[in-house]
Amino acid sequence: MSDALLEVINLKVYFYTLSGVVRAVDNVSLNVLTGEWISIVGESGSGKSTLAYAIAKIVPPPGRIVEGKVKFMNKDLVELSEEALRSIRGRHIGFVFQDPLTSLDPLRTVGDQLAEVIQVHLGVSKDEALREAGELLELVNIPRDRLNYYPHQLSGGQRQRVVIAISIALRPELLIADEPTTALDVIVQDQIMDLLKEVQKKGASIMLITHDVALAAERADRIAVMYAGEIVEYGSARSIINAPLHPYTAGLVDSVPDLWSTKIVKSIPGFPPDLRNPPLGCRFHPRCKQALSICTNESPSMTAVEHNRCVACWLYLKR
Amino acid sequence: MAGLSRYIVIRASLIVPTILILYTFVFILLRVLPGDPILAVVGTRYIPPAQLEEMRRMAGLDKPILVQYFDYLLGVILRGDFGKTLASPVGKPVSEYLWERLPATIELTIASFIVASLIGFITGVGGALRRGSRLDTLIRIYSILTYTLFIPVLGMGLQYLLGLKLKLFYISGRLSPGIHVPKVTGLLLLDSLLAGDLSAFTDALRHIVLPSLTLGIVLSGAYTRLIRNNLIEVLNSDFIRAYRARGIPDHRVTMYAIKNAFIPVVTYMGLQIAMLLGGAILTETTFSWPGLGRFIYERIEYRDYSSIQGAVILFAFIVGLMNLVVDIMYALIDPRVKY
Amino acid sequence: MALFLSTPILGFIRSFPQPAKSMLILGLAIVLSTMSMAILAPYVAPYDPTSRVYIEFQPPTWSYLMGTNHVGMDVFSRIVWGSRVVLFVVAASAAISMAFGVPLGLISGYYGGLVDRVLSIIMDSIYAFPSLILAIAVAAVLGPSPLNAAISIAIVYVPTYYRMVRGETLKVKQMPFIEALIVLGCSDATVFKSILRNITQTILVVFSLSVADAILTEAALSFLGLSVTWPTPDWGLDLRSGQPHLLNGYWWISMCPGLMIIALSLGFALIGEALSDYFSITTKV
Repeated sequence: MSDALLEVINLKVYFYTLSGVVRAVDNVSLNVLTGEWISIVGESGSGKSTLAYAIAKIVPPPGRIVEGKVKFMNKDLVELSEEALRSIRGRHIGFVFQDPLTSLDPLRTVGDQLAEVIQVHLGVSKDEALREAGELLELVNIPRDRLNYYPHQLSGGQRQRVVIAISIALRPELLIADEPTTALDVIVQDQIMDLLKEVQKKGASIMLITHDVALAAERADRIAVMYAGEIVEYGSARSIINAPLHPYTAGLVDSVPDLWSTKIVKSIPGFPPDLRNPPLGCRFHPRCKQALSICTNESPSMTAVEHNRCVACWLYLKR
Repeated sequence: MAGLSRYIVIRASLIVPTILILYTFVFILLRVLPGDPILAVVGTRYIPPAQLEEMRRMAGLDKPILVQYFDYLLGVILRGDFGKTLASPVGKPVSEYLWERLPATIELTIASFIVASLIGFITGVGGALRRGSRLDTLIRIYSILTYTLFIPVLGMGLQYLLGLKLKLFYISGRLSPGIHVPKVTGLLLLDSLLAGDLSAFTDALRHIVLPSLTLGIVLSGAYTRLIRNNLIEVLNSDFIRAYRARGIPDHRVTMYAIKNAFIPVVTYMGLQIAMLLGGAILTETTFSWPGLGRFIYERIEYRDYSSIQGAVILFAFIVGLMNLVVDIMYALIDPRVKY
Repeated sequence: MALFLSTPILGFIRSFPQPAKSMLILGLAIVLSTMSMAILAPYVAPYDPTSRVYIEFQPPTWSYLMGTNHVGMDVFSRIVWGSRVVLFVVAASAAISMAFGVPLGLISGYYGGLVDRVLSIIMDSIYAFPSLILAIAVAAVLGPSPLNAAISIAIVYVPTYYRMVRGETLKVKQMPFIEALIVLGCSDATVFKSILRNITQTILVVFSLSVADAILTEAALSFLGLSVTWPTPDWGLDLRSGQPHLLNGYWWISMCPGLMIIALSLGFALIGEALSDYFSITTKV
């Protein structure tokens, strides 16, 4: 397991709000190998975005990393100082946020923001950085003259491509994309996904956060399914989609409409739990059709069921 | 640049109806309100009817209302004629007084604006960056307190403490007697520098500190609150988080946040001008500062409503002009505004 | 009776979160004690405020709590009686402002159209103009008296209420229950009453904050000689007449009324801030 690029070990991220402690990420462990694409899927509120923020250690207050390790390039990011983290962020870990309009500074040109990342991390001159920036734009299929444009002058798709350009400017080993296409239309969505695939081909690992199961599976190598702050299943993309083990995963897969079939689309009844007071035992049991009595008392731990396949469900654990 | 000129012209033409409305409003107010202004001037003295008529004629009150309206308006626009004084001395063109007193008010306004902006900026940014701390609570109390500080009280307090007790600054007027500065702009601080007269400059400076500090402090509170609230909002916004995720150092990120937070504050500055001018009257009266505000106060005692009207109209023009300037500045600062 | 009234009000106050609660309590304390002082003036003031009761320039002592002024009058008694003028002018102007501003705002917001546009432009122009200068211009023409001062202040604050009511009316107008009332064929007046009930919170906040402001405007008018005349006790007037003596070291003559002005304004401002916090209303610039 030591050739994993990123190892998240027993991570807990809690939000200390006025109405209680929200256990947004509760004991999550996973790893990301070099050059692989892993998608984290879950409903909104499942903690997937928080997990992503925690890895880059940009969790907004009142959130805090309470426990756990994030091993990246032989360092534990949780323990690292802000100084050291700053040289990792942007350089070795790239981040793409959901809404491209609000993740760019409206007062500065696209070129300035691109060049800045290069300057700050590599210490080159402004001119050199701008030259690099121009090349980066072309890499993402945007004409070089847009360097002088302000974010509001570009289309949504172009903006997101600029954001991606910024995030890959320094060829990071890991690129985290949090719902990168949710704010865009379907055709542009495809282009962005293709772009991310290009980035992966160049050697980077991609961590895609999304609520869209189909999108998650499209180009991923592996998928991790999150529910109520925990990972409930993970394995290769194909096996998860074709043969989902956890009832929640099955529900998710079933809820994807298929253009060619006439099967009835089923949604999962019920609502995600309140993370200030999650249910005892397995957090999914109130909505699970196959719940056993043990599910209401004890929380199932993650166990390997096949090669490269883990699931946290009493249906598959030996009791 | 053609776009900018067009933008200026469009914005300028929007100011015109505002000024016209204000003029109309003031005009109606002063002519239609109960109470014969001429009799108010005269008071209880006995004046022969013929003289009363003469005074009425001089004030233009014998003509029908509509004629008076346009007469006065055109007089101001075409000839800069703001009418004639009604009392002590009688018959002098109001415009003479207005132009004489205007620079003093402008100098005070600018100085107070600088004080208010500086204090507001420092406290607003400080409060936002140290949100929730004791300093922040103190700063919030400060912003409420300045809202209710009565200018003459603060002014007198400063006069007493800094002027009398500590003898640091002068408590009235613009210059000590005997000091003379050749008039170029009418702004003493500028003119004394232009003339190379450093001792006159220091003298003028020591006279302007207390009044501008008074007016500046009182107006800074609103700034404090505006900047603090805006900055807090910006600091929580997505692009600031995105900056951090790229590894941009904190001090730079703070700078970008401040720049973004500052933009809506610029529009507020336009409103500030109105408040500055309003506060100028009280400040000038408290500090015997020979500006337009004090002029109005003096004329109140003489019931010289003609001068008061002239000064108020001039104020309306200044407010309109300043708003135009702020509009243009805003367009230059925010790249999202098209021109 | 008083006990009966106090319990629901006390409950309301207790439901405030900090720091709004402290602000509300402090503000109410200031305002209510000033009001009591004004109402009970003949019983609270130890001396006749307009006649000489002792030697001039006496600093504060136990028998003359705030000292005596340049004529020998008891400053404290003048403060007590002066509160009547302040509260009268401010109350009268608030009543007049609301009487015009609120209905006009309702009509403008509800009916829209030409009436709305014309009124808006007029109100915006007045609003953008320095309020004190306008008040001075009006008061100067009307002549010095507390009633005239009240009228001038009222004129200046009409746009404040107008804008606020109009804005809220526009918002509330969209709400389904208003449409329901209209569909049911209710008269305009009924709809208005309904709208008003919903914007009471905002009116309360704007009321407190503009009263805080009006107190300062009133003080400014009397400071400039446009309200009462000497020797009627009035805080602004006393502030002015005490100024020359301040510079000779007799600070209590002007500072006591001066601080009272600030205190009363602060009281209303605190109430307004606390209410605004509680109702989560943001007053826009």
